[in-house]
Amino acid sequence: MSLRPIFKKINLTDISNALGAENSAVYTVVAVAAFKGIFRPFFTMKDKKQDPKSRKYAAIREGATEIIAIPTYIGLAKLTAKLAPSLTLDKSIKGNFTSPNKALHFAGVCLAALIVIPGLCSLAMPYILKVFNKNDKNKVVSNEINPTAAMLPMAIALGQPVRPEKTKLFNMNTYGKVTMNTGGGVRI
Amino acid sequence: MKIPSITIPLKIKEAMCSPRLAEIAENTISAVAIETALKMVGRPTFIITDKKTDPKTKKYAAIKEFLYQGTCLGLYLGIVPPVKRAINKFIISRLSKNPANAESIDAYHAESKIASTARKAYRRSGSVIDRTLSSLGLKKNEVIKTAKKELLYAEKVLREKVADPSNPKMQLCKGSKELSAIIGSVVTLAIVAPELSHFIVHPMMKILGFDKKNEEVKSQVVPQVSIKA
Repeated sequence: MSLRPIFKKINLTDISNALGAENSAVYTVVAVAAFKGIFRPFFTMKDKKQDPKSRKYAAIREGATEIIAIPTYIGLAKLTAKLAPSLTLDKSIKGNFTSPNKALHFAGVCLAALIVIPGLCSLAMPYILKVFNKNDKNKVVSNEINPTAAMLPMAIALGQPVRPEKTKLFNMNTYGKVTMNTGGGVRI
Repeated sequence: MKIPSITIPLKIKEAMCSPRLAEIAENTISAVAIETALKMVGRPTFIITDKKTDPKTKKYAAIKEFLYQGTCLGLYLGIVPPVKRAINKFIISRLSKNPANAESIDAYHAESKIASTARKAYRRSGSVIDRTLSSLGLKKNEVIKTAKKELLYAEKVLREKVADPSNPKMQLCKGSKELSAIIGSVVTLAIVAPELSHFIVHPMMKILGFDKKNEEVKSQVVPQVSIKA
């Protein structure tokens, strides 16, 4: 598929004139978030060095963060712009001043980046991961079906030291990966 | 939704209405750099305050996030200006194919040339005056201070004239600059930075001893789990 027809349809003159007349920080952050939402999960899934499960979790997390970020940036910028009438200076005040709209849009973006998006992500992420985790729930190695764990009570009762075999320890290491999935080492 | 009018201190009002802040807010590179710096603070703070996660995991994730955002910021400030220039050159070459745009492109180039000459003149004159005065052992008097202020004002006026969004002749080139900055930001932050950060963040985490600690944590988890069972 050639991208040339799409590029031909884009009118650079109109876009440039519109951005020259009025540019807002929201356009850039939304564009960056949208492309990050596509490319970051894509690159994470392509990274074959990582464990497939951690890869999937990281990709979901990254994609969900950017999906949350886009409406938050737009919404907060619009909400802060509503403060413009309260911040507009009286005409009696002399000096070189402009409309507070641009600064308010920017303040909305800053507020979203600093507090609102990380806060919303930490609130929503457990639920999002739960939804995606539903199918994998049965695949997680539980202590009940773990052979080493099942062997322990009997060994303690007999007063014997527990020396699990290497293969069994490997099975139990999957438990460690569960802690990874809950946030450790995963970019958000 | 209507927000009730609140009495806001005059100083805050003046700061929010200042043209300098509007210029920063409109400038794509400065706005994204500030936003990334805020992410660098906000995200690790929220990871640290999360009470559900294990403290060691929390510390690891917060430091990794801090380093990742810091790397992104550094890469962004380093990569974006040349990328922006290259994209802008391409956009201007495409725009100049249209004869209707030629006039505004020429006008913008002429104005920006005057503004950059004024900027250079102001910088040079300032240092020349300072050096001359210090070699003569004289102090700055009011006349020199006023002359420097006038030069600074002239430079500012010329700069603002180029960046004036209400001037239709300047809009096209100013917009193409912003468009190239947006494209450059997207390419850098969404494609280049995540890939390059792997080569920077992981070695830094190793230097800080976090990767080793994480392995130790994992190995400690195994016997604890088996005893509980």
